[in-house]
Amino acid sequence: MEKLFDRLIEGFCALLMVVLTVTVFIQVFNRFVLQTPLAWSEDLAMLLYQWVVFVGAALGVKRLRHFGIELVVRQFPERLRHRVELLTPLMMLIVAVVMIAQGYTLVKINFNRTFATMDLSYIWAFLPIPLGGVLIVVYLIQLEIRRWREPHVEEGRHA
Amino acid sequence: MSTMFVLLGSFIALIAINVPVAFSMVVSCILALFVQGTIPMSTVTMKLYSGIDTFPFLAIPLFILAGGLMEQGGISQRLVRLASNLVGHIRGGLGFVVVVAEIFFSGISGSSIADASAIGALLLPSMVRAGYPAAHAASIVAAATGMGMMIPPCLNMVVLGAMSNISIAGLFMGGFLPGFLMAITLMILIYFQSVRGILPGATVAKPSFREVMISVRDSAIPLMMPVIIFGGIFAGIFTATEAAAVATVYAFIVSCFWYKEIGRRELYKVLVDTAIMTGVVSLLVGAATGFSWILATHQVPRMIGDSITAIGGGKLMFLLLTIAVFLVFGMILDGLPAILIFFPILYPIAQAVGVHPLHFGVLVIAVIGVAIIAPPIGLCLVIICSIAKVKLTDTIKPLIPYTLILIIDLIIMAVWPWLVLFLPAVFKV
Repeated sequence: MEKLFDRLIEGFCALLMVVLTVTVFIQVFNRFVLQTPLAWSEDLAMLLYQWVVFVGAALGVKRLRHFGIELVVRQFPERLRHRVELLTPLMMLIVAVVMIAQGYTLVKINFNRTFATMDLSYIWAFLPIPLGGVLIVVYLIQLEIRRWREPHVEEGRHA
Repeated sequence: MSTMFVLLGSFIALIAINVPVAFSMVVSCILALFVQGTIPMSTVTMKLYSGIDTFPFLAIPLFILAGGLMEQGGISQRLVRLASNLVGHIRGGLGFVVVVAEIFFSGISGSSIADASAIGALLLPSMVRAGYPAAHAASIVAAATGMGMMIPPCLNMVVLGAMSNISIAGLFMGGFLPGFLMAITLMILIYFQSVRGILPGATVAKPSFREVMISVRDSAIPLMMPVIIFGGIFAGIFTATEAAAVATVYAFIVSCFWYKEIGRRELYKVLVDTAIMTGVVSLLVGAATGFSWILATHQVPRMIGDSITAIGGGKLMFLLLTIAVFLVFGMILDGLPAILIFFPILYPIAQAVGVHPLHFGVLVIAVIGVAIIAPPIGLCLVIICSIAKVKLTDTIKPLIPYTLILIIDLIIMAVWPWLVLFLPAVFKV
């Protein structure tokens, strides 16, 4: 179940990256080769970028890729260090909850706005924020379950 | 005032206990706005979005992807062989190979960590075999990586340019001469060390002309990528973002259809890794945008500016201060967070005392390059040490001369702006 979910999100990220690259490339091609600049390509590319950012950042939580400063905690005795490091998921949870709540507000406010260049609602531009929040919550739960099941597999963060 | 206290106090406390920097910033903003009371909380999430919502930022995923595809495509060996054939036979040869290979490599990849891993993995073993002490070999790789920050494309330049409306093309072009200055001074130092017997004079056998030409031919395809990027940007055809997209398509075609070293599985992995890296970097940018915004609404940059102006001493004094600030905080916070927090504070002052934006931007990037490899805590140095399997503390002594000479280069850059500004002026970017 967990594997399937991860595969799904990863595949979605990969797909976003492909469409993003192709969009910007088409923009260049149309401008320089066909001499017919496109109106919508820049807006679409930015929209895709925001999706990559928030989904990618959430996936970064799962893979422990967000970097912090280990310099100080490394000086702590091991038990204290483990206690203090329990605060990290809590802080991430706070951020995720604010992303969900306030991101939802942004989606609601922009409900009736559409892009000038595309027949597309601004909902799609802001949706990645609450969605990223939800994903972060899911991944934090996954990580906590894993920590609870195998408490000693704590090392190797920020690889 | 209490808002500022909460913002900065909670931020320092959170990063000290190893909460990732981006999340520390957002939590501090949330707490600060909570205390402040009148600014709506949605500002924080809005800044996460708006902080990265301009076209130049799109260059971030594209440059990461292009570099990732190229690295997977087996170019590192080819570039190292070329460097080895070009400078390997000179006295101190292997040290020179590291520096020259780093120039080639960072011309393709935008990330210092990728550079350090690739060059380190390929060259450290042969250096140790040739008689370099492992810690000293690691120091040379570290110093070269620091220099490589100046050779575009460089992710930090993209972020710095995009966040402050400084021309990214200008930053790219401005980095070349100082980068070469750093490379030459490092090579002079390596040469003297091998003459004096501190380093083995080990050299690679002098290659025949034919071998040189073969390695040039093998490297021509990867080295076409910087030609496309910079040719396009400097001729005024592409923006940095568009150049990055063209480079990505080029890297894709070369590594999947020409070298055939990337299969479907590797491609998938590179795409997912790029998305994660993009998310990590961009979230940090968005978080820092909100953080700086709260600082600015409380007049913090202006107060710092006033106290710096009160010290006096003019342009040069200010630039030396800038070097010190970014060196210290680049070491502690790592490059990108240091840029994101301190650049918006110092940039207006730079403009007020009449420092050219490009001069200031390139200088900051150069300082960051030195900071990430500076002993004992530079992040990049930590990575190189883990590849070289040496203790961090062992590299401190051999790294000191390299760090010092790089800092002298920084001061030279501060004193002579034309070193940065000459090429951008010639190419009118």
